[in-house]
Amino acid sequence: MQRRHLIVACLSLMLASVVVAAQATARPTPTTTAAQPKKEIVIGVAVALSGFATAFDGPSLNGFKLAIKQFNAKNGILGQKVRLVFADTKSDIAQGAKAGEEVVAKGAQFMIVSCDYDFGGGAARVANKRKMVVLSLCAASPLFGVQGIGPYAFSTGTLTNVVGAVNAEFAYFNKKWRNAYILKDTSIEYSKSVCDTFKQRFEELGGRIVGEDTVQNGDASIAAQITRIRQTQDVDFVRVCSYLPGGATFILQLRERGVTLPILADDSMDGSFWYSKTLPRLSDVFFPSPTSIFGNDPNPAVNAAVKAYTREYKAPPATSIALFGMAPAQALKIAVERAKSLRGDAVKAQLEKFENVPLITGPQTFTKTLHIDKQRRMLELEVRNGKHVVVARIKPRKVPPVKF
Amino acid sequence: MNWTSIAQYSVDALSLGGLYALFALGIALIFGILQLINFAHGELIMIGGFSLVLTDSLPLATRVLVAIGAVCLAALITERVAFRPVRGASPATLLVTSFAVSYFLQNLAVVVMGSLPKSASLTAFLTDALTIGSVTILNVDAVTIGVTAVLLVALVAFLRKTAPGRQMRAAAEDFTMARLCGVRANRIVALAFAISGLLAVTAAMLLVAQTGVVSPTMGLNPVLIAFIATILGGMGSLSGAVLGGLILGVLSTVFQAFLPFELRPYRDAFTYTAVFLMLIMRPQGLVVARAAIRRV
Repeated sequence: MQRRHLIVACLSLMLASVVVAAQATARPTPTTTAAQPKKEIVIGVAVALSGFATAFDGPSLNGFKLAIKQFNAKNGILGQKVRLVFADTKSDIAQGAKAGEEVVAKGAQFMIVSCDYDFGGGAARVANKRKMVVLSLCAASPLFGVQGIGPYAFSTGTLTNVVGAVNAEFAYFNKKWRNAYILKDTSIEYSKSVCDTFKQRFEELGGRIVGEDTVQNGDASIAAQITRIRQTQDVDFVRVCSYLPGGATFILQLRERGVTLPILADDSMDGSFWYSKTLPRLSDVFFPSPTSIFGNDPNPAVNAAVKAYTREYKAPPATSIALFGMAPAQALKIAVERAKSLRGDAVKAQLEKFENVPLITGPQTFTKTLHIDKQRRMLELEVRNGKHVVVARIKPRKVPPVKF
Repeated sequence: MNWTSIAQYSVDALSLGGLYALFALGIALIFGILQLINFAHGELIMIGGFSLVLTDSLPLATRVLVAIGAVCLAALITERVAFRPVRGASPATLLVTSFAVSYFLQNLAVVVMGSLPKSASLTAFLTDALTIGSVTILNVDAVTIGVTAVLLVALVAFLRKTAPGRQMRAAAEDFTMARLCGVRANRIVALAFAISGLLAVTAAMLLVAQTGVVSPTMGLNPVLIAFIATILGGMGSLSGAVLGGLILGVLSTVFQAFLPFELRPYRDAFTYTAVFLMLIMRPQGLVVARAAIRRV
């Protein structure tokens, strides 16, 4: 009896999957639409509209949509209105390619994918295979480009190598700090890379690493690591290489357990929402970011964008990620208008000629071999009494080379 | 390595171990009665965390009461809606059900609260530090150790001395037999879930006081640690679970403190290898619960 139930269940499952597959393939594939002259440009947005990756994709997509709305309010792109079509990757790496196919089926001529190499890679490869230019909302991996996806993929995100170098040069030149204590979160590639590139550049400049320890982002307590820091002599600052939520816990515990040294953190620690209740008067924490959302960016365009964003979404952006989404929209517009064409090859060629093109995130450069900026200028922000102050604007003199 | 640092590391280790033990108590209680490894216990902790975020402006006593109410209610709802229909099913079915509940609650939290972590604190008292010589003890460390000890004693007393406690133990030993003897199974199981909710909300408060952040995935790590601690301690034994939690916390701190830098990223691998070795020596766990021995 039970076995029969099992067989029936299996059969119905198979039937269901056949039906779903048939529906998926039955969608029209618009192979001919690209050749016809269009009155509108269709951009396919294959990002996380639900699930955990919305922490990044949510605000950056808001920024992207705002930029497109602003374009449409004027002349659109190349005189044509832009229409967005969407597909949800559901914060699932395995769903990326499917979401990519879905926006292609909806007529996309360009594609925008998630703010991450792994999460955006699936959809990006679908676009690349069709020679369609694809931009990530803010992927930070050098792999998001020629090497990891293909020649049609670009990211306006910030390389971890740049973050590491900007922090090292800020510490060494601006602050004249010489002795670093490193806390490295070894749970993901991002936090390891910002740490390793910082260390490489800082030692190259002549700085010393007087102590080093590791943390895991999920650690409920880093009391043991803090005990070690407190036993180390001659520390100028603690370099905390981490991200949220763990990064917030580590900084809180450092302060609570008596470490008053300056803390040098990463662009992942932007915003005030992670310390507002626990350390409302947090001070002496520094981190680099391409933009400042606190109304004090040296670039007035950024402050205007923050205002526009706040108006549009009835709430100020929580972090700079909200603005990062505007950059791929701007890059695409500039490249298409320079190419005077919507053809993938022509737009790609124009993107590859980008040299210090002003985007919201700063001057943007791409080359034929590197489709992410390898020497971006960044701001260094300081958290002082709970408020954010811009303390430096740094274009790193030297960035540790990208390794693939 | 001098005596002060050994004393400081001991405090660090006990505090972490106490927190882990508290996580493990909730898992062990439900497993002991229903043979259910409740992976959704982590999400009960998460609900406690978000309750503290939402009641931030209220007085502490109100916040604690609201959190207890919210988490116990959530525990009872998961029992009624998800676990009661599959009661007595195979352990695999129960496990998959608890995963489903856990996943559902996490995603619900993302939809309702967003996926960005939220800053949260409990009371300034917990983050005050007591310094003896050059050893620093945060109140939250002392409170964690104290609360875990008190809860263990109270729970054991409840199970041994009270009628519902005895019924719960009877149900744990032989569910069908207990029912035949007149134990109201539904009521007893619901009570067990409510108590696990109480343990979860206590864990949530201490975790928030320690970490200062609340996020939809904050329950993942605690529940994984609790699960391993429970297996190490002996499935179904409450004091075993506490012992398991303490050992995990101590091992983790010891490896973090004494491994050479190059090996420290693999701290957890060392910790779990030690657990593995202990389980080879004692496959039934460190403390064997009487209910776990099947009598023919």
